[in-house]
Amino acid sequence: MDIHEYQAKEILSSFGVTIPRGGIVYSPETAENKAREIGGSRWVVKAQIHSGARGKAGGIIICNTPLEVAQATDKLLGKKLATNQTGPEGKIVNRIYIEEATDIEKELYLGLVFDRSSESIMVVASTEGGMSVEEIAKDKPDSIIRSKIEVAVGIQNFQARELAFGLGIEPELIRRASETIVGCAKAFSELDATMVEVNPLVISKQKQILALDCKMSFDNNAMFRRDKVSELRDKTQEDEKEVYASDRGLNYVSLDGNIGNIINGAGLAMASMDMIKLAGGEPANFLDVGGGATPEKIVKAFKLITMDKKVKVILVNIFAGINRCDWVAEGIVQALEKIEINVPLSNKVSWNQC
Amino acid sequence: MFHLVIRLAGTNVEKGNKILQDSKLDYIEADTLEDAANKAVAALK
Repeated sequence: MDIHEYQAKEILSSFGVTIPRGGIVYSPETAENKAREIGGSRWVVKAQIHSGARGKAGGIIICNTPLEVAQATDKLLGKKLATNQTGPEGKIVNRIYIEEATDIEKELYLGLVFDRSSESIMVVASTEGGMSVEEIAKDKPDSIIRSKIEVAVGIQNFQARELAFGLGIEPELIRRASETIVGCAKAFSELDATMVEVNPLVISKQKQILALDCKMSFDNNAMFRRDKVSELRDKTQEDEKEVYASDRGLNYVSLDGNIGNIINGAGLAMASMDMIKLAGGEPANFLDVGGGATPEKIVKAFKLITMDKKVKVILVNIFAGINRCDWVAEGIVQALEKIEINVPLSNKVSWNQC
Repeated sequence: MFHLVIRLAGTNVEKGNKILQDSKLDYIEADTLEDAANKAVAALK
């Protein structure tokens, strides 16, 4: 599960990371007041969508007066913003974050991710902040430093200091820098995150260490025990069909093709998608209805698949173990009665009693 | 409007088949995974 930048900032701030003064607004009128309330003479208006690279897409605007803040908010609110991460359809902007502008002296990169091969949390840092980590890895691989956090013991202060020194941070700021790294690592493990990224982490001209942009993702399977995090979910930022599916216990991923799939078991679903590709087709989705699928669940699966207007063929592939073919068949019959879709006869073949 | 390809196998498959056969559904029946994928792609044309 992803959350917005401003939410990630609030979380990290509660773990001792310094963030610029800012506030969230939902209308241009409140934006102007919010800018005055924040104070200062320059503000950054930031569209809140679940995507990085918002700056290049025009989602981040620097303003010199509260009026400009209101105008920039008006320009962004309600629009769809397409970045290189959202795909061409983009994501809707419903919230705007207004922040005081920071005088940047140096931009750094700080990221924490799960590293499955070493079974640890990997801290990745670089002196080349502001670029995406992929760009850094390509253009300045030597600038990247790493440190492994043992999950059982958590981050140690010496590791954070080592990283801070590795980033060439001046001695009087080492303590604040290592506190920032420790804060991010604690937020990561205490809230069941799968990713924490601060890019850029900046040193300001006033010698403050500030998280200027933050991104956090969380483990969906842990959200049942993280009420405060799970209520940050913003369904407007997710694929409509995937939201419908997850609310109904269906394991669904939307894809680009035109052959819809209703399948039991993730393995069979993957294999079926491979076979469709091999036969020269493109799957429209991954859908695992799970074991013990009731007719009602099959009906929901059909509703879900037919929400996708690209779908021209629906493939039902059930290898029943825990499942029951009669329930599935009942579900198919009910679904096609309820949804009232015309299913044209293509080449009906005689049924094989297998 | 779409074509429907169905492949059932395993528990209670006879009952499942019967329900589909007795219904007024028009569908393309498939025997195996490979058959199902080929028929789904063929139905597009």
